[in-house]
Amino acid sequence: MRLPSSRGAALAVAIGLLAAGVGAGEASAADGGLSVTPGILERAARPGGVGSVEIANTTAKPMRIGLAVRPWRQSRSGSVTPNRRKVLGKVRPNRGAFRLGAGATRTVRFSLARLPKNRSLYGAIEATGSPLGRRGKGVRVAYRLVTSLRLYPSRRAQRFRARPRRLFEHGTTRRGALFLAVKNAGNTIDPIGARVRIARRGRTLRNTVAPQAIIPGSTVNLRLTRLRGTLPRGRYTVAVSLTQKGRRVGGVKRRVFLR
Amino acid sequence: MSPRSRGRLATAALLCALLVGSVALGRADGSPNPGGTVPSTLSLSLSEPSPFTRAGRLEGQNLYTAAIRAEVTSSVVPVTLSLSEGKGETTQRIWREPVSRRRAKVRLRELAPNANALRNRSKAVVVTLTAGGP
Repeated sequence: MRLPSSRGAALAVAIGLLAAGVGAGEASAADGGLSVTPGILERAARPGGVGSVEIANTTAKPMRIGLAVRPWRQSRSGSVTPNRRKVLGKVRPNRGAFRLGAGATRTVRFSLARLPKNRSLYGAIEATGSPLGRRGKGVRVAYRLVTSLRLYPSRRAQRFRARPRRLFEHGTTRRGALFLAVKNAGNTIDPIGARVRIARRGRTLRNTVAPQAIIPGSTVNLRLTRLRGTLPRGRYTVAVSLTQKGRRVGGVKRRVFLR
Repeated sequence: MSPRSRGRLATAALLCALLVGSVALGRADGSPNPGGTVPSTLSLSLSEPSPFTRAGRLEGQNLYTAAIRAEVTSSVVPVTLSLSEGKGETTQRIWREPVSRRRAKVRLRELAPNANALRNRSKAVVVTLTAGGP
């Protein structure tokens, strides 16, 4: 490569400095809003400081910021939302509510008061921003950003509870599904998957269930397979092998009558 | 200075500049190695709501709709954009891959006998952005 004279050198320096600055430039928000960094706060669960998040108001108006750490609520279908009626009292921010000026940034530290019984904690950090100085008629828009808090146990316990009588059919063999209720009795959120074998004389159906994260203490109905007329009505033996992180962690077997 | 030595000088300057750039990126996370990590960020920008326009009739009243333009950035997935209007929360959009300054529209719906009655109302809505799961 041949660059002409000192102009080339200047150009090269400019390219290098630009390369250094690109990372910082991309992180900034677009044309005003609320941002939280990091998106997931994860540490080993230990009493004391568990980390901090940075909240930035990039709008042209000051905001009232409210912070809360809430437990997750998981439905039987597996969907997860923060439980807005409760707070995780064991984890506290050093400032629960404050005013954040236009273009200002503030770091909020979180601390764990004491270790929970199962030595891990999973929750949602909820930051709410309401623009100040606007009253009267019309629509007032507020921001709510929800990030994840994961405090991992020092000793992992991968336990679950799945009983044969919790294996059930919903719908019919033409249009339905087969479910197994699985409770996470451990202290990790490692996704739980399954391998299923539905068999009777002359007919066998196999399926692999996509792994799903289950919050410790929650029960989720894992959909073992969809029934779309591939199996005729009748009595079948359903064998389910549950896996966590690719490892078999147990199984359930039951004879069921598919309608 | 000969053209050959000028060329060498330019190459050396380029290498120096790239080295300075790499060291700067390496310092961002406090590691001595060149390269860098950017912490995951969740960011939401919202515009002012558009004026309500009549969209039809529902339950014997006029249905008015408006939109808020949103811009979403998140490196944590899945990302869910939802709207809370008083009673319930409705999911507006879900992304299963990281998004950077992705635009979306949040739709507001309001029932009113006429536009005048709508103008005299005050309404509070919360736009929620949830990143990741448990």
